[in-house]
Amino acid sequence: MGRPDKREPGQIRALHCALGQLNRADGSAQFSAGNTSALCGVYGPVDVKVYDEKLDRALVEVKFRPDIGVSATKDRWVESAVRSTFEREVLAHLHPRTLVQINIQLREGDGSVDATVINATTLALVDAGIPLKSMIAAASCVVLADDTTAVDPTQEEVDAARSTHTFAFSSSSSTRPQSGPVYVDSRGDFTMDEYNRCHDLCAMAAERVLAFMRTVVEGKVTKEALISTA
Amino acid sequence: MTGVKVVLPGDIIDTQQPDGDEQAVIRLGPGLVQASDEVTAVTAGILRSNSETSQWWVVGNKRRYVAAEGEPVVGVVAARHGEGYRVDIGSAHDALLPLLAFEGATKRNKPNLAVGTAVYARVVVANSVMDPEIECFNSHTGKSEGYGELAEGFMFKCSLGLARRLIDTKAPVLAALGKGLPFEVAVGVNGRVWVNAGTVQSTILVANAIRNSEYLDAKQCRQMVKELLEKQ
Amino acid sequence: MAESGQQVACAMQTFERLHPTEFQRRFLAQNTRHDGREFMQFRPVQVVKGAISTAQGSATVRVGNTTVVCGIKAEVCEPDVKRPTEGYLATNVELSPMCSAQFRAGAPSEEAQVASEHVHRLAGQMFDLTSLCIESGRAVWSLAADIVCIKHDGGILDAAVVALVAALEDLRLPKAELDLGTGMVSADRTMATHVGVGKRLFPATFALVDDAYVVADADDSEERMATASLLVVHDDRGRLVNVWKRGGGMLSSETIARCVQRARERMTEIAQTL
Repeated sequence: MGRPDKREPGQIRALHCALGQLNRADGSAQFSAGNTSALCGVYGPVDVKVYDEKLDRALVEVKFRPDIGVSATKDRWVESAVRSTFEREVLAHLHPRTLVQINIQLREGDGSVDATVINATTLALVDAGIPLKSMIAAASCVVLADDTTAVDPTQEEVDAARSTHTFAFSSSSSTRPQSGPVYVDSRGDFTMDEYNRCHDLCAMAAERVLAFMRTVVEGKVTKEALISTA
Repeated sequence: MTGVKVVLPGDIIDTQQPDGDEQAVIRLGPGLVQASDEVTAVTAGILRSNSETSQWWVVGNKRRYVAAEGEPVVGVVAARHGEGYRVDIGSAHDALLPLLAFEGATKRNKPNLAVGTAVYARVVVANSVMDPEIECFNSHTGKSEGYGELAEGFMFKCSLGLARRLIDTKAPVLAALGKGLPFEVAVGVNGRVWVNAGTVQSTILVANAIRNSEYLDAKQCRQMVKELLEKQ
Repeated sequence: MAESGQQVACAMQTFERLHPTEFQRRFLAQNTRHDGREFMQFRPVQVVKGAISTAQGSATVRVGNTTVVCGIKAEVCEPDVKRPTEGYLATNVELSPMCSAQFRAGAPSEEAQVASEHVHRLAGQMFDLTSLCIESGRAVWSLAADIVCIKHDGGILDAAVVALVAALEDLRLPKAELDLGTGMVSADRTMATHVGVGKRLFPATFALVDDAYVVADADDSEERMATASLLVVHDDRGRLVNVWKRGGGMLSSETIARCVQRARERMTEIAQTL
């Protein structure tokens, strides 16, 4: 059975990223995979409310807004997922008593939303120069009714899927293979074998996303470096 | 410099010099941390090193200032307290500017700055646990050395990378502008630039020229400034 | 003798209060936990169905010291135009100051909202909403499942999911009929019937404590120092429904596989009490 957009099962959609589009934010990134697109703006380290102040580290706050409608309980879930993924990745102890605020606006959701949101956040944090332990790249895949798997699914495929899987990996895990994924959300009706298959597929897709991120950031950094050395 | 090496957060840095001895103490600057026995990058940028001093650091661009000792900054007075001013320098916390940290200031004769005044100052205390402290004079010599209140003129923000380039006396955009018209400029590494060129028109021209120079090299800068001056 | 024993207990309490992390570490380093459990040992589960007589379905669940009550209220309403045969199941997890000092009165905390949403997503996978249909396109049952935490001592999601499953099994809906002439729905309370739960869910939570020890069913004090948590949900056929890992702490793929295996064993423990 072919995919609706004629992709190979292990093929991700075309990636697109623009860094620093928001000129008022300290760092921003717009990350798109096919039609799914998220815009993330980061402020930090900035002043924090006394009530939220952490004496030994920076507070990481995430705000997520959906593409349609006002933000609701389901968006708190996304916020919590992003925060739990990045809370320990940001070297928060370097900036105690401050706030790192991550604002995410979903521009269009066409499947693999959680993964796209995580990827946009990584790039926005890098653009803002927030110290990070490593880069995080995420990918999704689905198991369809006929037991085939498809990576980076569209909404159409997600709706038809028997189970959906989202994994996020840290760039440092490629040098330490024994460390597992940073974030996992597998749901639906699946077996451990299917889980493992999806894990490996997503790991490969995340590897590609990471390589793309590297090109994007290298492009921006070298562009600036050429000016200052010229 | 042999080629530019771009590093990303999480990249492990090989600090072994080809000809260096293994015992040399390595000094890590901004953007690098030591985790167990490896050195990893924590911000994205160009990896730089000085083989003589075994110093390593990462140069990247940011928009948010984190105070560091000895750096010149442009701030705006946010409030006045009994013993000093609270000055917004763009970092997470406002900086403290003591009333006596001005040239020739005594208990009887202190400068009186209104809220909203721009000042050029130097960071004297900067660490992660304390609010930063700045001063408008050199406390060793007692002379102002160019620091102090920035009267009139116009202040605007730019990226920290551009500010660092502007502070270099050979900055092409400032050199090109200087040939065309007289102006004063105070560059803070906190990404704030104050300019005053006498008239409003000239001040706006200078400010625009500096802002435009963000992504231009030396040749393009001269061309851009030339065009602006011709239009005036 | 008794007095010195009391003194030791008192000193231990003081130590726990002053250095909670160090207190836990001392136990973990000795391959045990502060409540005497082994690393992969769960707390006992107790389920009491039908505790609230005013609700159409209810259950009280205890997991160790964590207690939650789930009550389901049923109302008749019109279905969504796009899904004329499907009813509604709304879930809400309430974590009030009553259950723990870490929560404040007022708007629901993020933890409560995340738990509500996660339980809602799981409920959508286990419960067949078409079983709530009275008359296609005209009238369906709308269920509101309120899960209230009475005592919070960790593992709130486990308890909430078990409570929801138990309450749905307890749910008895009156026989309802739509009068096509008047458009009114009449319900006969004496003819209440059970609505089958699509499939039972069996949750199990694991936590990575202090970046080093993987423990099953962490209690509140262990959750506070956890750097990662893993929720594994099986259905009654032994297939996986949800694997959810959060937090930056590293759990290797082998560890996750081991936890899934242990969660299957937990399945039978919960199934017995249901």
